[in-house]
Amino acid sequence: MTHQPQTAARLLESLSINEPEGIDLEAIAWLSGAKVKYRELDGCDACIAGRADVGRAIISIDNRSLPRRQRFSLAHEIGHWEWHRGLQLLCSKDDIRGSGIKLKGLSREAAANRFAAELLMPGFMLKNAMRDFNRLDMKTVRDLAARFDVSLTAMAYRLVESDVHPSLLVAYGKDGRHWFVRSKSIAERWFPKNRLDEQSGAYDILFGGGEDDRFMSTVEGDTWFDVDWADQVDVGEQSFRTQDNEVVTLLVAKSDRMIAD
Amino acid sequence: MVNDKMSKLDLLEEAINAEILATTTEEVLEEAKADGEDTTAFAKSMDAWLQGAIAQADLSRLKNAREALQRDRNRLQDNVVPMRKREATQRPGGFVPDTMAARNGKELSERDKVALDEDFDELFDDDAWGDDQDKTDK
Repeated sequence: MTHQPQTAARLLESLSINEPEGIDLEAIAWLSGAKVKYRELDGCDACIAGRADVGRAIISIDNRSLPRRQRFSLAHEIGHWEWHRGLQLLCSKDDIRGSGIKLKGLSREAAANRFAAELLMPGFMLKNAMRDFNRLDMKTVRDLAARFDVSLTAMAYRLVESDVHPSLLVAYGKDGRHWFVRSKSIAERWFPKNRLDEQSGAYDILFGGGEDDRFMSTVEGDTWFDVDWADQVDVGEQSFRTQDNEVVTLLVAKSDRMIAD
Repeated sequence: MVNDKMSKLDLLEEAINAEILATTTEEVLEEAKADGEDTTAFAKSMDAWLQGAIAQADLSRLKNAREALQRDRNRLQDNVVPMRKREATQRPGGFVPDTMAARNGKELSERDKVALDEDFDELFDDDAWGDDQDKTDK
């Protein structure tokens, strides 16, 4: 039978999985013909080797990663097996046996990440879970991350992207901004600065060794944005350090002036 | 004689089945209403029952999958001598899997390559893949 790729939501529905606690990734992988092995990997966080002709695959996960990172990696590889079966996302044989691994298409990596986010934090479950919370801050993120067994970054990213509240998530290293995601409801002019402002709590965490913010504080918008009148709007700011020597900040809009038309 | 009786019973059963199958949904509903049945409530209860049965079956599938993968892990641990060293590999020379991807990939170490090599062998080892894995997707 020819393989028909399924979305993460459809896959969960086909197995009647309705609660985060029921998302058994290894069992889901097994049912699609993939075995999961945990071992020390030096060249990647996780990888998959499969035979589409017989529907068999072996997913390897680096067992030295944090458990929630391993879980995300597994969901990511299941995404490849579901959607990129029969594709070699490596440059050539030489890259497998030779010097290194180079990915052909970053968009497929992004697709696998999206699949993983939707498999681990399905929209309908997230919507139900959010009913227990009336605001978006890191306490909400932390509680939901624990329930869905994902990292703080993964949950915060998903909540911002899902637009549960107009917000942004920004990651900085000492060399400047690494990435950010913005809710659809926030106007595009609100683009985070390239470098951390010394007035921000995130600066103290990254450069001063400060502890993660316990509460969300309110700051003027020009701490984070170069928009001319940014000092006229308030934003909620709460930051935490990640394993990758980054600081990640959740920024929550406190003014309707940040909302897209 | 016995065969004749059975045959008549079979014919009767066949006739009843044919009549049931020939009855339209509208006729069934009319008949049920005439008997004072609440067809909407009955349909709802049947729907709920069906959904419950499907959920129960899916739960069993996941539970069976969990048990099967655990058996597979135990089997690998019990293999004092790895299978690939006991038997000549079935894998064709120069084989490279048709599906490959790596997350945050960089240079492979020697032990990465050894592990991949073992995985490639396992992909061709029918004994390493039980019948209990779902075949519907293959």
